[in-house]
Amino acid sequence: MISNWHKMAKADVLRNSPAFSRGVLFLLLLAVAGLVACRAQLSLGFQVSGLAQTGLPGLYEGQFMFFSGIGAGLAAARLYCRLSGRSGLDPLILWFTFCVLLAALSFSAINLGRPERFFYIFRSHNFSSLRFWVSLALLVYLFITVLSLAGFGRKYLMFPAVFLASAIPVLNGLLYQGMSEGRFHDFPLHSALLAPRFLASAVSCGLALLLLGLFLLRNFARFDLDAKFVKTLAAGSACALALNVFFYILGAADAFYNLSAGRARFLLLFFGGGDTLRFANIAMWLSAVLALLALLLLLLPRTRGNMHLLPWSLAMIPLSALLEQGLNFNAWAGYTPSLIELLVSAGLVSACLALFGTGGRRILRHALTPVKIF
Amino acid sequence: MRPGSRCILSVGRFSEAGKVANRSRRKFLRTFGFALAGLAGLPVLPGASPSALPAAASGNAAQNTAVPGGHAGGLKAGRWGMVIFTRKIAGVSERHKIIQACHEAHNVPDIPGRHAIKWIRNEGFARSFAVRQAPEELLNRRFLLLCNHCSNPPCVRVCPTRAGFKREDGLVLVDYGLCIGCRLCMSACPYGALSFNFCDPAPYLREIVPDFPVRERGVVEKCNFCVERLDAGLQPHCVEASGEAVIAGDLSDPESRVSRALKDNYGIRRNDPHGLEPNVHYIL
Repeated sequence: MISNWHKMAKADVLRNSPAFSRGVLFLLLLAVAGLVACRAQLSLGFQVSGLAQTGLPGLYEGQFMFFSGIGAGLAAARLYCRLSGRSGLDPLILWFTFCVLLAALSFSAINLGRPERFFYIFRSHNFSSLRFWVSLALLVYLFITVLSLAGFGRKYLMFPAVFLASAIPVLNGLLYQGMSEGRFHDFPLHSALLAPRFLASAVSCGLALLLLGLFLLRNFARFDLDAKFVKTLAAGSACALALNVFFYILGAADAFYNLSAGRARFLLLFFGGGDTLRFANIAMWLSAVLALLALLLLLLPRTRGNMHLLPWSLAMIPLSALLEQGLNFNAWAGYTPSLIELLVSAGLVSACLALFGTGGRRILRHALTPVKIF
Repeated sequence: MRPGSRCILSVGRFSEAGKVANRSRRKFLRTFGFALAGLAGLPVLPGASPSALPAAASGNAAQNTAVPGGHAGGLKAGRWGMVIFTRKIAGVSERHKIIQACHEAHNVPDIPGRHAIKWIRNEGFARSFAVRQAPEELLNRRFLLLCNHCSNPPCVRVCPTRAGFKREDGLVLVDYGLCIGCRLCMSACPYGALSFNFCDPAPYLREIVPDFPVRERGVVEKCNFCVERLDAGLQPHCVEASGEAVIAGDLSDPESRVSRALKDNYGIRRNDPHGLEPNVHYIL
């Protein structure tokens, strides 16, 4: 029975799927467009970006935080799989983590005025800089992921991986706080709430995106997901999302009772701010509605168990986070990303998606036999 | 589950799934607990990184990492500072002369619009000091704003590559060769003293001064207190161009000219609610 299924699954994933090829081709075309835009930015400088409007963090920084958070959140999924004896999924999660971390580091590098000097962060390090710690944590996490993918000490490397994965969103939260509104001193949110909120958000997004990735790959490689496993991961994502919403409401309450200028700016993102913040107002409200709706749909066992509705509920979580954190609205007063920035971002995300799709398919192809990616 | 297929997630389980999985789970949790406890205990080890963090949090990191500065024949100070007599430069031409002297000597490009680079700039009272209520004359007066060479510079603390650094004599400088263009220093500085080279500055230079480096695209720059002149025993360009309106000297010496000027006049600094201790004073 097992060997029969093995043969069937292998035949399925080896079969050429035109939809899959077309999808990868489209992503690669987007990646090439992003590469051309990236070259333009490298030769002309940030004058082609919208960053000059504020001179401060914009789309790239937001994407960096979003993807590094997802990479960190995936460690929770790995931990769950390990504890529930489902280590067969480990290579796929590791591959997903690898792709996401690659995207995060690429966004971090492209956000620099001199991207070729990225490694100066380690060569000429400053221990009091948050950017140094975030970059170090991400790079070590990526290294551990690669080692695990190659099959070295997968079991024991999980401990430092989980530790780093917990540290990354916390450091990101503090960095985000520092960059918000362009001043390290006008804090728009409470620092002590921001770090755990980022951690909760990372876990909820990581779990949701992992499930979405599995749902997507299921279309191109016939395998079934254990319903219990899916429901448990969805419930985990919902719990993390509930914590995220809880910390967010605490932050909003703090902003209402605190009369400092920074906190007032946070409230402006929801209420008022004139024409410059109109887009931010819409995005923040949309983000809040999506988060609450996803929470409702995932908390109710009936809707959580509905496999047709579940992908939509899960998709709302990263979308909400992308709107609220990924697009970095706190730093956005008057900032609109340029076409070059949008193209570079789309290209990078497409390249990583194509990498995940092709690599993920290869992993599924060898799912029943031990496989080394590298 | 579809007929003929099997859950891929069960791969990795062994045949004696129940017992082995339970035992390995317990072992895993035990090892994981020990590892977490070990990691939590790391900060108490001597030489662990957190020794740097309290210093950073208290704002003293920059002082801890201050680099020696000054040349044998140069001007010396314990803490360089500047005093600006704002009444003496109330006219547009006086201020323009100072700005021009600084920008021309340091190859500061004249880029119009959003990408402008400014080592010294003009602002009104409300924007300079974050005070909205003052006598009419004061509200209408323009002030020269530049890097304050803070005693606790936040730009130095946040710079990941130590491109921003503080010398022992209090000068806060940028090493253009180390700057990666992350712009965190711009986020950190509450005074907006730093500018970013969004494009190549060379085409916007009317005349290139060979004694001073021309910056590249993608790096941050700011006022350097004319450190090259101080090291050569000369006063900064702005001081020379201003006549007697701007004076620079040692704020740590109570007998220096700047300290006496502050003793004899009512001087204010730019808004400092976070203890950065800016070293540029304005005599109203």
